[in-house]
Amino acid sequence: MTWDGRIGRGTALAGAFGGIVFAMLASSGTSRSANVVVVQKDAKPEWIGASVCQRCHQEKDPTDVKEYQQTRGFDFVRLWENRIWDAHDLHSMAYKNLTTNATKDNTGGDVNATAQRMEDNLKRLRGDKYTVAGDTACLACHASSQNPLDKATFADAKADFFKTDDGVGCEMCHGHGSKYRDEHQRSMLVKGKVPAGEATREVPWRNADPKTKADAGLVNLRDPAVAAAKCASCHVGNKDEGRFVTHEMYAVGHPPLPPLDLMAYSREQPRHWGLSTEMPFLVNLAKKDAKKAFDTFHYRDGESLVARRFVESTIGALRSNVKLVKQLADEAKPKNDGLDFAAFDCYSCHHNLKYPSDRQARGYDGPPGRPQFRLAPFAMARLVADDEKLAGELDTLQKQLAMSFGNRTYGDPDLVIKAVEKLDAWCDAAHAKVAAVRYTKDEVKKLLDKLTAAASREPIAEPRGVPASQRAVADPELAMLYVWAITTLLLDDAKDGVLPANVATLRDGLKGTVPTRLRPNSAYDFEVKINSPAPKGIENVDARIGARMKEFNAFEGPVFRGAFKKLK
Amino acid sequence: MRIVAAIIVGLFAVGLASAVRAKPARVEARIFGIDPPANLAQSSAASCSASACHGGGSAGTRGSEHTTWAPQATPHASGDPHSRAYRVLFNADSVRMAKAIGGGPAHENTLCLKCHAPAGLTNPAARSEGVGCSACHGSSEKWLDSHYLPEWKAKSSREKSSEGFVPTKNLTVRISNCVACHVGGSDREVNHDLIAAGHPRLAFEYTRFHFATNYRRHWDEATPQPEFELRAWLIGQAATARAAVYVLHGRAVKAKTASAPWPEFAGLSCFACHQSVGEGTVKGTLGKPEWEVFHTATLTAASTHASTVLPNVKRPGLVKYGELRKTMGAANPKPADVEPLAAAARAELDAWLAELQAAEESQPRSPQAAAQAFDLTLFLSHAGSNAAEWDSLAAHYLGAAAMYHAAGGEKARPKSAKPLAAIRAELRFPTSFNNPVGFDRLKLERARGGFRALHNAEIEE
Repeated sequence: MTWDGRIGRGTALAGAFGGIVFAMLASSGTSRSANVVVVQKDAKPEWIGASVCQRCHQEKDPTDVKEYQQTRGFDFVRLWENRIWDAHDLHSMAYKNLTTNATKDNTGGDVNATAQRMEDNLKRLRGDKYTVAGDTACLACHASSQNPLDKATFADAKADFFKTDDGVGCEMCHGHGSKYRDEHQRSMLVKGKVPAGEATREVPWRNADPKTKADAGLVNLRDPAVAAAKCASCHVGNKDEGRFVTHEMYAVGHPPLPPLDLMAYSREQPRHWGLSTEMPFLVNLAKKDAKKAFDTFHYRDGESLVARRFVESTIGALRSNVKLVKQLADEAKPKNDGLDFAAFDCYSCHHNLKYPSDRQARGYDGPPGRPQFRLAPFAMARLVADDEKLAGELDTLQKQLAMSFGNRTYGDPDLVIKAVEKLDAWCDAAHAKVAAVRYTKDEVKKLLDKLTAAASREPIAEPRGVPASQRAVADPELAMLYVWAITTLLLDDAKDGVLPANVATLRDGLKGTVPTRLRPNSAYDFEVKINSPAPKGIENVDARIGARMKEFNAFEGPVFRGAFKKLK
Repeated sequence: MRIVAAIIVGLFAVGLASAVRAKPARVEARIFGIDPPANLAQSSAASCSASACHGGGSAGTRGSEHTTWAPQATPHASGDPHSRAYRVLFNADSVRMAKAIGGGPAHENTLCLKCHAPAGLTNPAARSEGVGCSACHGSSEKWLDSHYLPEWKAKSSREKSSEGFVPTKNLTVRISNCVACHVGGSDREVNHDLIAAGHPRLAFEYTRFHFATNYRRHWDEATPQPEFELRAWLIGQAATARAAVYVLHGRAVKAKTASAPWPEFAGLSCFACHQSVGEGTVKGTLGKPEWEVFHTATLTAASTHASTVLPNVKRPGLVKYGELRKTMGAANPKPADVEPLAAAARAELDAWLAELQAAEESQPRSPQAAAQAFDLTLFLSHAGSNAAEWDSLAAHYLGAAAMYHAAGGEKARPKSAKPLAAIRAELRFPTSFNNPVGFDRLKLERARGGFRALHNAEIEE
C-alpha cells in the first residue's frame, strides 16, 4: 500500500473513531442507567411530525418485523395505527377543511363552503387579505403546533408556527414527540433465559409511571379524564392555549360545537388504537398486578372498559367546561365586562318561543330570562358519580354558578370566579368515588337504569325551587348527551357488530328531533382491519352540520321522554 | 252631641281618605310644552259612566261611550280590551308570571298595576276598571264640573291641558299617551325578566292597534281617510321612537347604579337571538342584536314624509338620535355613555312631537293626502326590500299596509293586495310558536321580494 493509501485509511479510521467518541459524548448529557426512563426536564417538547411516527406505527404486519418479535411490541400497541388514521380519521382533514377560494392552491384540499362563508363574512371586519387558513385563532384547533400552546406562546405565534401537513396530527393528542420519540422505543436485552413466545428485549418505557411519561411529553390517553381534557382543549375550548370559538366566529358561520362525549365522538370514526382488552401485555399485567395496571394504564380486569372510560371522561368533561368558564370570567373581570357569549349555553338564547314553554315547565335557577352556562355537562357528571352526597353538593354548586351568571346580564365575573372554585374539588371527589367502583354488568345496568329514569322524568307542576337533579330534560344539548350515554352503555353489550335492537328502537323514536349520531349518513366501519381500504369519500361538512342542526332545533320534550319510557 | 261628633268623625275620615287617595303619582309630560298639574286625584269611572253623561244605553252613539267601552254592557260585542286589563292579572298566565318574578300576586304588584290599572295604583276603588277613563283622558278632578258647560268647547287644547284634561282628539297627544304603557316610559317598562316569565312582548304600532278587529272604538274619528291613517302612522312613528328612547334613558340611569340589567334584552331585537342556531343571516354588527328595531325601523320614512304631509312641521334633524343608534350598535355601550345621548335624542324627538302636536291643532285638511300616501308606500316598499331582519320587515309591512288601507284598500289598489298578503305570509309565526321559526335566508329573501313586488304594483297602479 502506498503512503497515500495508508494515510487515507488512517484518516478514515481516525475519523470513524472520532465519530464514535463524538457520538458518545453527544448522547451522554445524562446518565444511562439501563432500565429507567430518562427525561430531559428542562427542554421544551417540539413537534416531530407524523412522518416520523409512521416509521414504526404504519406496519403492514408487525408480527413480521424482527424488532417487534423481540420486544413483542404488537402485544402492547397495534403498530398499524397510522394506516387507519391516515386514511380514515377526520382529524387529518382538519386543516384542509379551512380551504377557501383564496387558499385552495396552498392547502391541498377542496374549497369548503362553511370556511368560505366564514372568510367572506370576516373579511368585512379584518380586511380583504384575511384568510381563515392563515388565522392563528383557527389554526390553533385546525392544525398542529410547533410547541405545546400556552398563553405566551399563542400570543407570539404567527401562522407559520403551525404545521399543517397532518391537520390535527398525532402529537396534538399524544403530545409533542421530541422528548419521548427515542425513549419510548428504547429496549434492552432481557437477562437470563426467556421462555418461548415471550419478549427477549424489554422496553423500560412501558412500565414507567404516567408522570414520568408526561414529563417526557406523552399525554396519557389511557386515563379517560386526561383524554377528555385533551379532546376538550379544542372541542370545548381552552383560552390559555388560544383555543376558543368566540361568538363572533359562530355568528359568521362556524358550526356549533356539540357537547363533548368522549365515547360518542370516538365511535363516530374508525378506531386507530388498540383497546386495553385487546393487548395481551395489559391483560396479563392486570392479572398479575392489578394496582400497577390501574395506576399506569387505568385498566382493571373484570370490569367494563367502556363504562370506566365513559364515567371518568364525563367527569373530565365537566372539569374542562368549568375551567373554560373560569378562563372567560378571568378575562372579563379586568374589563368589568360580561363574558363572551360563547361562554353561555347556545340554547339559552337561541330557542324558539313557545307558550306554554318546555323550558319554563322544567324550571331554572336565578331570575327568568338570563342566559346560563352549558348545563348538560353538570347533569351527566352528577349521574355518573352516582352518589347522593355528591349529587346534593353539585346541585348547590350549580345553583351558585347559575346565580353568578344571572346576577348581571352577561354574567358577573367576580361571582363566577368564586362559584367555580369549589367545582374543581368536586370533580376530584367524584373521580375518587368512581375509581373505587367496579363496573361489572350489574353496576352498568344500575347506571343505565339511572340514566333512563332521568331522561324520562316528567316536569313537575311547580318547578320553582326544584333542584337541578330533579328537573326534566328541556334542552337539546342535554338530550343528545343522554341519548349518546345510553347508546354507549347499550352498545357495550353488542355482539359481533350487530346493532342491538333497543338502540335501533331508541334512534327511531328520536329520529328528526334529536341528533342520535354525529355522522348518520356516513358509511364507515368502526372496527377497521389492518388492510381495510380507504373510504370512498367523507361526507361534506356543510351537509352534515346542516342536517344535524335541523334535528337539533326540532327537539320536543314529550317525544324525547316517550322514547325513553319505551326503553324501560 | 254624639251624632255631631259622629258626623265630624265621618267627615274627618272622608277627608283623610281623600287625602290618602291623592298620593302623588309621577306624571310624564305626555303633552308637549304643557306641564299638567301634579298630584291629581285618580277617580274611578263611576262618575263618567252615569247614564245621563257617558253611560247612556245606546252602545256606539254619543253619550254612551262608557257603554261602548265596557264589555258587560253589551256582551254580544267585544268592548275595549283596556277594560279587561285588571281582570287578566288573575288568569293562570299572570299567576305563573308572578311566581316566576316574585313580588307578590300580579293584581297587587305595583310593577303590573302601573300599566294594567294606573288609576288603581292610588285609588283601589278604581282598580277593577283596568285602564279606565282617566288613564287616557286624564284625571277629571279639575274639569269634571266644567267640561259639560258651553265655555269648555271654546277653550284651546292648551288651556284644557293645564287643568289635567288630555285632549285625545289631537293625534300626537293621543298616541303619546298610548305609548306610555304600550312601549314604556322612564318609570314603567316590560323588561326581559318579565317577558321570560311569560309576558307578551311589547310591539306597538298605532294604526295596527287602532284598526284591530277586537278593538271597539268609543268615538268617531273626525279626520277622514286617507288623511287619518297617514297622519296617525306618521305621528305614531315619532311617538313610538320617542317612548323607546325614553325607556332606554331610564334603563341607562338605573344601570349606572347596577340596579337594573344592562344591556336590557327587551330593548334589543328579539329574533336576533330567538332564532334556531344555524339559520341566522349576518346583519349589522356580527353576532350582536340591534337596539329597538321594531319601534324605530321606519322612523326615517316618517321623518322624511312628515314635512310633506304637515307642511308647517320642519323635517327633524335627528342628529343626536343617529349618534345614539351608533353608540347602541357598538360592541359594549356603557350606561354612562348612553344616558346623555338618550337624553339629547329624547329632546330632539320631543321638539319634533311638539311641532306635530301644534300642527294637528291648526293644520287645515290636506287635499294631497292620497298622493302622499302613495309616495310613502313607494318609500316603504323600497326600504323593506333591503330590510335585514324580521322586526324591520314587520315594521315596513305595517307601514305599507296602513297606506294601502288609507288609500281605500283592495278597491282602490287591487294590484297591491297580493304582494302585501305574500309578505305577511312570510312573516307569520307557525301555529303555537311566538317567533318566526325557521326564518332563514330563504324566507328573508322571499319577504324582501314581496316588497319589490309591492313597489312594482304600486307604480303600475
